[in-house]
Amino acid sequence: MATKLQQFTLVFGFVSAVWTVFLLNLQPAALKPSPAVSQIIPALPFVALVAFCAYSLMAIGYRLATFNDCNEASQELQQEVKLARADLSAKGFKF
Amino acid sequence: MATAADKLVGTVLILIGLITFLYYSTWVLVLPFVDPSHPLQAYFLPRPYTVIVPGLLLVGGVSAIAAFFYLIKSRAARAKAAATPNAPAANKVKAT
Repeated sequence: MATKLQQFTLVFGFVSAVWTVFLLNLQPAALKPSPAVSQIIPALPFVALVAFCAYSLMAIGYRLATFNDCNEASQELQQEVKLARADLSAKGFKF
Repeated sequence: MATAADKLVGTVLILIGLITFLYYSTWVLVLPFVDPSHPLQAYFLPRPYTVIVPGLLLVGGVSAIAAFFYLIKSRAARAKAAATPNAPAANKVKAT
């Protein structure tokens, strides 16, 4: 099983190789892009970048808007602290 | 619980992300297929700016992050030098 780094390198390398071939116009003649598509190709990395930025921003915004207090977890933690204190006191630890 | 301000800021962030993505996608991916004389073309900058604008933002952003790191590092180094008088002077701390 390949590691995440290997997977990423493989996919990223393959995609950028294909992109470079099209950018430098080295693709087989049968795959020649239409004028409109050949206008899009140079900007594709920036499309990916902008999409990633927009996604990150929306993820932060969504998590911020739906941020939750964890009341139950807080209660549980305080209970555990109490238990630990009692246990340590019983064993002679002084706070 | 998320306060009203948190919700507002979160919603604004989501909206900014959504608008940016839709506008840029339309600009880059849809506009080449639209007729050059179509009125939609008036709402977008000329084609080369699809690369120039995000490129400049990228360079500016990375520079800002690097400057921020440099500032923090040099400030920490100065504080450390001030705390230990025998250490070499702060202005001799190597740049990172």
